[in-house]
Amino acid sequence: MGDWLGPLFFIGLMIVIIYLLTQIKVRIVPEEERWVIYRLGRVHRIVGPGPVMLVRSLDEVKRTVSARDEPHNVRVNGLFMNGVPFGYTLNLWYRFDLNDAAGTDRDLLVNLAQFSDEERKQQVATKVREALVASATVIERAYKPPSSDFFHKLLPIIPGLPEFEALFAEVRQNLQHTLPLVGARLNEAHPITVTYIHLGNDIINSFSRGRVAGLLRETFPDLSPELLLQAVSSIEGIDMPQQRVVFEGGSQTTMDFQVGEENGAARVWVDPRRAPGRVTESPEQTPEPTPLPTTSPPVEHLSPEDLQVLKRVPAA
Amino acid sequence: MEQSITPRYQLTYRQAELRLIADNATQGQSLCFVGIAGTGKSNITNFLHSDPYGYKSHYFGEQRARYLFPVVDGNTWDQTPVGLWKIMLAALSDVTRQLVQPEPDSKLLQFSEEQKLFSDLKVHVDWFCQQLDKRLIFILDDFDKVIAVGPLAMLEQLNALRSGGNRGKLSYLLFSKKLPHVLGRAHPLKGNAKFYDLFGSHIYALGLYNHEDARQMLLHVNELVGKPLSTRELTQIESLTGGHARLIRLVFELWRTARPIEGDPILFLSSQSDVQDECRRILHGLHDDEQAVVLRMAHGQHSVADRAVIDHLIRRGLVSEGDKVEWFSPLFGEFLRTYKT
Repeated sequence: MGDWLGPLFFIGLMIVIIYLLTQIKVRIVPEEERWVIYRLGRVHRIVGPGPVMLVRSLDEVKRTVSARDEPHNVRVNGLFMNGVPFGYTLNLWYRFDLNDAAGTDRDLLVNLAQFSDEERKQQVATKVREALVASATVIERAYKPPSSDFFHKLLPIIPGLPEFEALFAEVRQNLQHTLPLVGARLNEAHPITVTYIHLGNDIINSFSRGRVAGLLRETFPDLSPELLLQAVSSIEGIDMPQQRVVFEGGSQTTMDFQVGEENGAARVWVDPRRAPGRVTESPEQTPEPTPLPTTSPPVEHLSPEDLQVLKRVPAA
Repeated sequence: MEQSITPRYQLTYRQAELRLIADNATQGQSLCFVGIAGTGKSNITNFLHSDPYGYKSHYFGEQRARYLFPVVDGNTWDQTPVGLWKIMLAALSDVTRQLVQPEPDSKLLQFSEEQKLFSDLKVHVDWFCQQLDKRLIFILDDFDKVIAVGPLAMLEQLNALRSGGNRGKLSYLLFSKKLPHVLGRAHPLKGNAKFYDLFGSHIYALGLYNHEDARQMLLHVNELVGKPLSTRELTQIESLTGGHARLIRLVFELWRTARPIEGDPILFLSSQSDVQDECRRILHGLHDDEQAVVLRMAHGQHSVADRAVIDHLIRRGLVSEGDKVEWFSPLFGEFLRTYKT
């Protein structure tokens, strides 16, 4: 009887080992992804990149998380500067890294793992909004507009100006602390850029581009033409002038760059007291401002209107 | 003795598309074609740019020499405005080499290299359109990235090139894989850009080759290498590739070297890495929403909610109309069936 026990035990052990081996599968996680693994219905771990071992009957790849460090557009509306409403479209680089963001906080990791990337992007947008609101309040306290018109009240939100730099230094600092709470990490190598400033029509109508440029020039006499153009062009709804200065007189000619208004159209001219050469205008050619940083389109769904744009080629 | 072979294009090659292009070009109207990857956009470009068989007179009559088609390849763009003006100038120089060139204006002083290049381009465009009375149709080929990246100010400069008397003489023929206003949504393009308004109501689906065009291509490539394949084999290749230009070329080469006469050619060909790569390129060239619906259709999991996207895919020529899902090519169908994300 005792002679059978040894082989029986060995066979049993082999069966168990073979069973366990058949239950393990190896999967490869791509470099740009992380996988959220659930075990028996609960968040177990976040894996990748590279090979990972999963137990067939226990583990489930519940969702993937994009780990690419890439630019995202975030639109934030309903902001106020000195009582004037405005909105921003910002472009910022960040990546999702749940393990890094949660650190040793297992509860936070479990919480972060339950959201999809789309939900996480909305959470990031909320954090950006919170940062802007908080930072705008700080700047508002420090900045006293020299007059009560819209333009002077909104100066701190226009890119290139000192108050704006201070505002966005605050925003960046704020996001470095708050984005990890939703599983994201801000890429500090890339600036946060404003691709659009959104203003209400009533505000846009109250100052045209000529007036904005004139006021900017008046307030900041040392502002370079490039910065002036960049500041004006970033305000949505204000068309850029389609003029370029063309002048004769050689390289010694000096020029004063001003933007004004005449019959609703912008003009650029050379101050004759400072520029002795003959001055002409070449309409509809644009002095190209320093281009705004490039933007990547946000992931958006095709709407029914989008799907109706494409036509069939008519039969010949 | 030089042997004459079947020409690459017949006079009827892509005639619906070319008629549309010609009609729009004569009116100075821009238009856009959205086509899936590898659908033969380069062949249309080649047809218009080089006119290897002298067919352009069929569409433009005696005036054919007036119509110039500079080709700007979006894949060579370095993502800067300077780069765009450079490749547009090079494309223009390429088609106007035989013509009298404009004198540079030494009285113009430019603020930057970008302005200088744009000014050069404008001077050249003005010269050819106004002094030489030519019609310029810039072919903006594979322009997905250019539209997506922008910036908007640069794209608007393309509209500005038409100013000062060039309206009606300068137009654009844009080729992309995705809908341009969706690509440029970050700017945004639609409703915000005069450049988009140039072609916004003339965006057409570039479908696959019809039977005659696919047949012509196969006869041409077969004769180029000494007619190794029979008529029956060419017919088989045509039905397997569904008029997709790059698949036709790939499958022809595979067939020539491996001859899958025995067994199931669909299984054999769809297991080849080149074919898989091409099918993947087609799939990944679609918008995310289109990809999702395509994959659901491939597994019979699509629903009524997908109807609008399916109609859109039908217009793009990816799938046929009818109760049963029928992909343009059985090879693509097989690829989707076994595709894993």
